[in-house]
Amino acid sequence: MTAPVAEVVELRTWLSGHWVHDGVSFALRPGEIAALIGGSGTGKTVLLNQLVGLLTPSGGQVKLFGQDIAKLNAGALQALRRRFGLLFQDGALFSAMRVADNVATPLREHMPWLSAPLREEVVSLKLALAGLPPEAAAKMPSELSGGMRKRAALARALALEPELLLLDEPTSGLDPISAREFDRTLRVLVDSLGLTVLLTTHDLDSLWGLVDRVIVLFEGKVIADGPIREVAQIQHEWVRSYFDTRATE
Amino acid sequence: MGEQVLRLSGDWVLARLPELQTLLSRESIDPSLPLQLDGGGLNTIDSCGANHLIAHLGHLGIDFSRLELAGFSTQELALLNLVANRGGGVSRLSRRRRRRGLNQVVGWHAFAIARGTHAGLAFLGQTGAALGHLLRHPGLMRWRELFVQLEMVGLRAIPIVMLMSYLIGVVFAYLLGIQMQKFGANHLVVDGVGIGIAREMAPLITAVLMAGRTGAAFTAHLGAMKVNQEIDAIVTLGLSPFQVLVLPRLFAIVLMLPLLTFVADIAGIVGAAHVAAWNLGIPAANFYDRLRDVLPLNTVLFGLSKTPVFAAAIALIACHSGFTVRRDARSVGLHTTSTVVRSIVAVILINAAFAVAYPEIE
Repeated sequence: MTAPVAEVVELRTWLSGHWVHDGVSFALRPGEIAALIGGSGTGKTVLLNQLVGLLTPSGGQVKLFGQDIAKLNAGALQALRRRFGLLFQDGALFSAMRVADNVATPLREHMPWLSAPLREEVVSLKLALAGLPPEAAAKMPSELSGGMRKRAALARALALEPELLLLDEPTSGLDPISAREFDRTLRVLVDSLGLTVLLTTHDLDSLWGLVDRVIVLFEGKVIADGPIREVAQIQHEWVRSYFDTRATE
Repeated sequence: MGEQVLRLSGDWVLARLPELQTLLSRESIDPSLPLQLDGGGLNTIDSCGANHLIAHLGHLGIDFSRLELAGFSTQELALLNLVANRGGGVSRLSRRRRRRGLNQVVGWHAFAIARGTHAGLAFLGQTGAALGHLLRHPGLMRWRELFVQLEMVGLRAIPIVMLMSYLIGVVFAYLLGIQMQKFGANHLVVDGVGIGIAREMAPLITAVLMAGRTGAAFTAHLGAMKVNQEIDAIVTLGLSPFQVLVLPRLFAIVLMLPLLTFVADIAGIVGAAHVAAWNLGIPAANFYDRLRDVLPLNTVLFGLSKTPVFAAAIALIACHSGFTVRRDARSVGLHTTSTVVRSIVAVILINAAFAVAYPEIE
């Protein structure tokens, strides 16, 4: 058994007057796609931000690649940042840069020795992998639709060939065809590169078709953790109603 | 005719791209012969490595579908197929902008100025219409927003306005005092300082300060709202952004600037009186006595009467600039800068116009 890529131990978070997380623990094994699900306001995005060190948890530990990120110095954290990519919920593209420059930014920052033609080659590959047409590269983020912006942000998250990919609602805002296309791309990348993915989603098709493992957050705790087939069978009111919505479609 | 074999080994990853580029370019591959790719010695390959390989072969004229693939694992094959289908060659990201001739540059700027003027006049008209509507329907007044703005614009600016004006008064009296001492006419400092501060310095300094402080705040606030589509939301809810956002700000600054200027008048004169007492041997009582004789009320009122015009110019420039922010973060910064510059220029121009129109000093 290899060491976990990311590990959350007894995480507790106090936010605006209540415990958002009250003892959350799980570990991600290399090469798996795990989905974090839960109702709105159950702290899924907060948890992703804590995993990458943008927010400090009130208690507990967050470990990436075996290292406790709270104990890392700035240099070590910077080195760690090369190894994961984060897709923000609303993209968070740099609005003053063209899409191509957005994707090139992590490359410029972390691999300055890469020549310009090679960088362009990588940028156009990542844009294509994310499903963007070539003409989108020269546009400004404000000229793109919501779904296109999401793909551009995904291209940026993929830029450094990360080992761990954290995706905050990657398929929301995409049409079903693009969403399934996205799932397939992600699956190939995961299988061939040994990527580990943690995503939050409300997309039941992604959950059934793509994800290896589902982690359910409810009232600050993990109430279920396992393959979708098992999780969907759990006798819990919220889990029941979550998966039952599919039947009414 | 034999078959060529390209044996891949080691790591084909992003970090080694430059190295791989050199290695690949050294290989002499004949595009007319069939080519076998042997991935048996491959350690790892990532999408960048696969893409570079396929793109390189593509440049040589060897299509991915014509390659014979051997020794690859299923996952590596899946990656190669994905990259070949999606990524493909290197599409040049058009970086260069077409150069524009002089005519085009002049024309472009002329149209930009015309569009800007048109938009500015339209904004002025819409504000006027909103004002007219409000006068007919006073119930539409946003009192809460107005009082919030009155506090932000007026109350919270008092300390900085007093400090600035006090210091200006000190410097002004000091400079004037040195000149007047040459003639032994120290007491004339009071005349100069009184008129100078009440008529020009206090209104101008306060307005410039407000342009920087309040004008920038208006533009940044409205610009951020625009980026966040809050202004669209206001329109969609059936409200007028002019009633909700522009008019309260306009009223707040038009009401507050004269009051702040009066505060500045007093602070400046107190500063001058202090210098007169310390450096020029004019006791405070004498200073204020003489001030009452030589500073007519009309001069003070003239100074104050300019300020609502300054205020309206600042509010209109700032709000218009905020509304024309485009949906990106840099635009907010650019528009805020332009608000400060344009409103300070506007204040100084209006002040000059007043000085020319009413040259007589009592």
